[in-house]
Amino acid sequence: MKLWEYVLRRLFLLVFVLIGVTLIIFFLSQVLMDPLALYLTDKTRIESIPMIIAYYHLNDPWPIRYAVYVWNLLRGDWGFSRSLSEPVLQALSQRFPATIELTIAAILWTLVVGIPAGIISALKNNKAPDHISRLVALTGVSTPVFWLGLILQLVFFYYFAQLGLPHLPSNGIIDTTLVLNHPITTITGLPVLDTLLTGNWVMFEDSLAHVVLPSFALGFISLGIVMRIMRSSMLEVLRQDYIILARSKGLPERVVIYRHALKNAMIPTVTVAGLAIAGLLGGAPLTETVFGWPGMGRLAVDAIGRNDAPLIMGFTLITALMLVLANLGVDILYAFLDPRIKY
Amino acid sequence: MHLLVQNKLVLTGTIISVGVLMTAIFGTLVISPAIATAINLPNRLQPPSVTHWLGTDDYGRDLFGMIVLSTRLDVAAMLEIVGAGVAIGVTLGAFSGFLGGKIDEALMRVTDIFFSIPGLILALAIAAALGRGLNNLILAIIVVQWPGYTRILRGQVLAEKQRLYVDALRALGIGKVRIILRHIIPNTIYPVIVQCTLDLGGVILTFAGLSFLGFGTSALTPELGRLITAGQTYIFQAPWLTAFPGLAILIISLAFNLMGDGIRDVLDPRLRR
Repeated sequence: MKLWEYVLRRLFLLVFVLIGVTLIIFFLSQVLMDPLALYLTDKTRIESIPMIIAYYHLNDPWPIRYAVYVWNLLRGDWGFSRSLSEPVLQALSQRFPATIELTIAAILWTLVVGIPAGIISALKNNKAPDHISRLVALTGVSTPVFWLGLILQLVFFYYFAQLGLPHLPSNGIIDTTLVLNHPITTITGLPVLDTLLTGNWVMFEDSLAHVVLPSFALGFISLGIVMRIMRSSMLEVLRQDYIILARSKGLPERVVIYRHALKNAMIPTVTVAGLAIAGLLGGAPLTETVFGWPGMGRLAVDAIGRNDAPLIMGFTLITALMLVLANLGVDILYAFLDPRIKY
Repeated sequence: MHLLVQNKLVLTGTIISVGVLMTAIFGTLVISPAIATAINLPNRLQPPSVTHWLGTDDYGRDLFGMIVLSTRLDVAAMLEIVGAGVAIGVTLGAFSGFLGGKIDEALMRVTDIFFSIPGLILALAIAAALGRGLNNLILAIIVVQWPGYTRILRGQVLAEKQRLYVDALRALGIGKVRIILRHIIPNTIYPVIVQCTLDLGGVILTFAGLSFLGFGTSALTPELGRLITAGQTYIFQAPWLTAFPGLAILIISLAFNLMGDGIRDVLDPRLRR
């Protein structure tokens, strides 16, 4: 089978999985709860309720309701947020860039710190750096992400300020008063990128400072996982015969590690990436709540307090979509990297 | 057994885990549950001292006592969730793997679907749909946990059913259900045991996280995630209110993770049977 055939097969599976996901969310929002709740807001007038019921076929048997539901999803009608009185999809897409910025920054932490740390841990096996990074990795998977966020705020914002040290901001994505003097032109929607692309250095520094703590808190858990996997797969690879061959050829150690060992050690790491992304998406609501980050996660959490089910369901759907696409990307990358895989 | 003892880190983890379980079971003998309602406002927000080892919270209650009382609920929830998840997952996985065919295919697609929604978010959605309450929260997390065990067990069962003794049992005329329950499951359960000990460490994070957001218990019931929510308001004035409950969660999770690692190392040679 060729690569594009594999991709096609995976896309087909993707559609099937998405149907399953919509079924679950349909069950949660329309069977467990009142189906009308998805399409009513506080501002809806009582007279229009019969029209809404007719339009969304809410009195029909559930297969028809489900079909109408999915059809509307594809058309962009994800229901109405009861508390915000605006369409769910609109509310989510407004906050989507912020969550993306946070997630990408967290992934950067995971890769930039996790992979080298794992390599060093493997190379200095059973010596001090190894023990330290193993402990960090183990602590990483045991730490509650929201608590870590609070502690980071405490130390890097409050205590640093108290001690007179330069401190990192604890809330929000940018400084809302500073931006009035240095307005950001929206290109991608991600402040860090937009300010970088337009040369708005004041706000670039500001948005960077804002994203450091939340992304570290979010990425800490996956960082631990990646470190561990990298370490164990690197150790596995370094025992292989072809590494001994490379060394006996007289190649410098650096070349042996980076050109030969690393590429093969990366493969198990990529397979873990899917799990790690699921963890990152799951940790986003907690992190965004703690840091007052204006993302989708916080939208969903606020929606809980306001009993706004449509937003919660919409958020679930969009994160499932993101995870499914991310897993597809990881699988393609995996098939691409490892020529031994028969797909 | 001696392997478990050899690695000092794993040993520490196991000891702490047992300690946590003991605290959960016997904690009320030492710390009176009345502490949870003993509101003592003049005493509020006191830093750690000799009388109050970890300080007091915003209602004047001793934080150390609150944390000890919380372990009871958190540990019970943890065990319930993983226990139910394993029971459901193992049963489904064993029957699916052994019987094969369309049921197996269908169940695998169903687990695929569950894996496509991030765990915490699925639990959040289910808990939101079911309504507030401790039982709904526990149920929501159970629904998130069971697919993992199904997958693990099914993989093991697929390999196990090729073995000769299975054919022998069938030849004797022993029914499939009996074979699955009496023979297959006991022989394939080891990886699940490893996984569920590791999951104990993870489930408490999910449970505390969702409690932090407001699901589960009401505000006055002592629960570690809730304590952190309450402490968040006073984080800069009274950092011990957030620091110590969170540290407790970390220690519990770390202990079970270490113990799980140890169990995996002990059972590993046997996995290669």
